[in-house]
Amino acid sequence: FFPFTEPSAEVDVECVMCDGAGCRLCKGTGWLEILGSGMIDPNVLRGVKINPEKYSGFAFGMGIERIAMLKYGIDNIRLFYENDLRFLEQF
Amino acid sequence: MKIPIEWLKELVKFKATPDQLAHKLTMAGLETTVEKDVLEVDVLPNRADCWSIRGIAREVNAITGSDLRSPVSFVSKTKDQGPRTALTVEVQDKKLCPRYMARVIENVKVGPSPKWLKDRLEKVGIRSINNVVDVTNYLLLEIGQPMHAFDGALIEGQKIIVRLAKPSEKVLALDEKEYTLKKNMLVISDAKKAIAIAGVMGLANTGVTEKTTTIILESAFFDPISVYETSKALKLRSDSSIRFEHGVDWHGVEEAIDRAAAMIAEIGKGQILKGKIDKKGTPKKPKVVMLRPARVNQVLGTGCSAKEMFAILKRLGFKVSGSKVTIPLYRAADVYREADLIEEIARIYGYDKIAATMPNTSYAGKEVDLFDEFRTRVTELLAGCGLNETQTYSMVGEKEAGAAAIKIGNPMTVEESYMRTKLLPSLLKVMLHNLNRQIDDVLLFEVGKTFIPAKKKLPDEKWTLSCVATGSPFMSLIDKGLVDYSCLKGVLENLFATLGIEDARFIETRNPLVQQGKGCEVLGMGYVGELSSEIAAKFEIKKSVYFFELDLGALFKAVQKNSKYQPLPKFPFVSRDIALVAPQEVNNQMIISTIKQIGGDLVEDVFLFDKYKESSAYRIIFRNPDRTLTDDEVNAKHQQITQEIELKLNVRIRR
Repeated sequence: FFPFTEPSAEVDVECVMCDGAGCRLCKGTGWLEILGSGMIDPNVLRGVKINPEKYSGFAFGMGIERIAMLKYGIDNIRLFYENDLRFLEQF
Repeated sequence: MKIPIEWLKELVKFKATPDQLAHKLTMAGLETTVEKDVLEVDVLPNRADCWSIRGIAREVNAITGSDLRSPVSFVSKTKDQGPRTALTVEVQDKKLCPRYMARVIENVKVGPSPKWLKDRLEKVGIRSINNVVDVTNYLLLEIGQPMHAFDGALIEGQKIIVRLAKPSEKVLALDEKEYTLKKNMLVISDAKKAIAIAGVMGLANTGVTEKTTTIILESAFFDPISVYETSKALKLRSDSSIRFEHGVDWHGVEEAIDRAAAMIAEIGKGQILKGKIDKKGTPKKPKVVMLRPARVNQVLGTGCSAKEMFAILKRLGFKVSGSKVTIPLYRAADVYREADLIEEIARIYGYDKIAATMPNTSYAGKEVDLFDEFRTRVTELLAGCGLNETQTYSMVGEKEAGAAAIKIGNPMTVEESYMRTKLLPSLLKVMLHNLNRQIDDVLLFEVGKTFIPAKKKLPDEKWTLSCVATGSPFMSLIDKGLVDYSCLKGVLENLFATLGIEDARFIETRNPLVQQGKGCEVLGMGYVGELSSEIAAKFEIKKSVYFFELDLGALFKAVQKNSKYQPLPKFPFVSRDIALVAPQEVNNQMIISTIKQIGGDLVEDVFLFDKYKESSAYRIIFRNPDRTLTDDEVNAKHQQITQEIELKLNVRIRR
C-alpha cells in the first residue's frame, strides 16, 4: 500500500546477506524491499490538473543509497553523508 | 498481527499448507510469515479490516475461493433472563461517538479463564487476566471489535456519559500510570467521574477484579481521528486504540457485545439483564461504485473477463448488481472508487499473472542539458586534481546557516532547520569530522545548491562549487608539501583553462571570509584563498584552511564557446625580467595590465614568477609576430616600461 498509487506493488530482492535463508538484515524473511511502485492514483493526477480518464501514469522509486548498500555491502546509511575520507576513497 | 492457524480454520476452510497460505497472502498484499502454527501478518495502514482473524479469513476466502464459516461461539440471539437494567447511557458528543452499546450481566463469578480461552490468547501473545477481560480480548482478536468491561458496582449514578474531558482532567489508567487529558479528548464517565479514555484504555477505578459480580459491557464506534490523536498525545497505544484508529465495523459493534454477553454469562455463570442499550446515529450508507471492465483491463494490461472480475469482487464480500458494486462498511476506509476496485481485482487475480511488457511510447526527445553536463565535467576535473567529492545536506543548523537563511517550518532535527546559503560551513564540518579521526590531509569539494532568499518569491537556488583543503595532497611522508593558497589558485586556473574560461580575474579582496592579504575575489564568481582564522576557529579547526567557493552558474556563463585556433608563432621571443616593490594599493593585476598597456603589440605575455619578501619579479615576453626582434628594440621597450611604470603606479624598481 502506498498513498499515491493504486494499484501499488513492491519489488523485493533476495536478501544479499543470507541468500534468502533468513537473517537479521531481512528480519528473517529472506527478502529485502528495494522498490515501491504503482499506477498513479487518479486523485494525484487531478491534483495537478491532469484528466485521469485521458492520461494514466506509473511511478516507481528506489532509495539509491539502499541499492548501493546492498550492492557493496555497506552497513550504515549515514556513511553516505558523513563524508569520512576513508569511506569516500573506497569508491 | 498473529493468527493461530487452528483458530483461522474455524472461520474459513482451506487446504493449503501454512507456508503456501503465507505465500498467497503475501502476494495478495498482506506480508505473512509462518512461526510454527501461527501466521504473522504485517497489516498495512489501509487494511483496517485485517486486524482480526475474521478479516484474514475473508482474505483467505477471496484468495483461495474456499468457504467462510461461522465461528463455534457465534450467537444470533442472547438469553436475557434477569430483570431490566436501570443503567442509562448519554452520548454528549455524537460526532466522536456515533454508536455506543451497553449490556449488563449480573452474578458473574470472576476468576481464571478456561484453558481453551487462555491458550488461544497466549498463542497471539496476549496475557490472560480473568474470564471477563479475556472474553473481550478474545472477540477483539476474532472479529476486530474492541470492548471494555466495567465493574458495575463501582459505577456511580447508574449512568454512563460519553463526553469530552475537562481541561487538564487527571486520570489513573489500568496501566497504573497517571495521564492528564486535554479538553478535546473523549472520555467515558459515570455520574461523578471518568471511567475510561474512550477507545484507548479503561481506568483503574472501575476495572474488573475477582471481587466484581456485575459486569457492564461497552461496545462502540469511536471516531478514528479522535482516538488516533488522543493516543498520540498521551503516548498511549493499545490493541483497542489500533483498531479504533483504523475504523471498526459498524455492524461488528452489535455482534461483539451480544457474543461477549453470552460468553461471559456462560463462562462466569451470570445472568444477562434485559435491555440492550444502543445509542446510535444513522450509519453511513455502503458506497456503490460503478466498475468498467474495459477500464480495468486498460489500467492493468490484462485480458480478464468481466465475469471473472465480478466473481473476484464477490469473493471479497462485495455485492455485485450489473456493473454496480456495493462496498461493505468494513472496507469503506480503503475502497471507495473504481481505482480501488481495480487494485482489488489485480491483487486477487494475481500480480504474477500480469504480463511484463515495455511501455508503448516514443521518447519525446529533449536536448542535452548543457549545464548538467558542465557540472559533471567540473566534478570529474576536480576529482582528477586529487580532490574528493562530498555530498552534504541542503539543510543545516543555525550555526552554519548564513544571516537571513530561510528557516524550515517543521524541521526533522535542530541540525537541519535552515536552508543553507553557503556550502562552506557544511564542508568545514566534514573537515572537522575527518580531522577528529586522525585524518590530517583533507581535500574536499562539493557541487551543490545554495538557497538565497528573494523578496516575494521563491528563493534563488544557486548551484555552487566549493572546496576546502588542509594538509598535504601528497602521499609521501618524507617531503610533505602542504596545500596552500597558490595551490588552490592553480587548481582553479587549471580548471578554467580546461573548461575554456579565459578572462577570469583574480582581484585582492577585503572580504571577511579571507585571511587578510591571503586571498582574492574571482571577479563575478566567488572567492579563493586562506580561510580567515576566526572563521576556522568557529568551526573548531586549528589548522590553516584553504578554500574556494564559486557560483557555478557564473562559471558556466563565462565559458567561451568556439575558441578559435591560434596559428603558431613563426619568430622567436626575447624575455626580460623586472623586479619591483609595489605599494599596498597596487596589486598584481594592475602591474600586469600596465606593463601590457605600455608594451603594446610587442609584449606577448607578462607573468609573476617570483616573490621574495616585498619584492615581486615579473618576466616579460617580447615577440613580434612578423619578424625577429633586435636587441635594441627590446632594450628600448623594456626601458620605456620600467620608467613609465614607476611613474604610473608609484612602484620602486629594483635594479
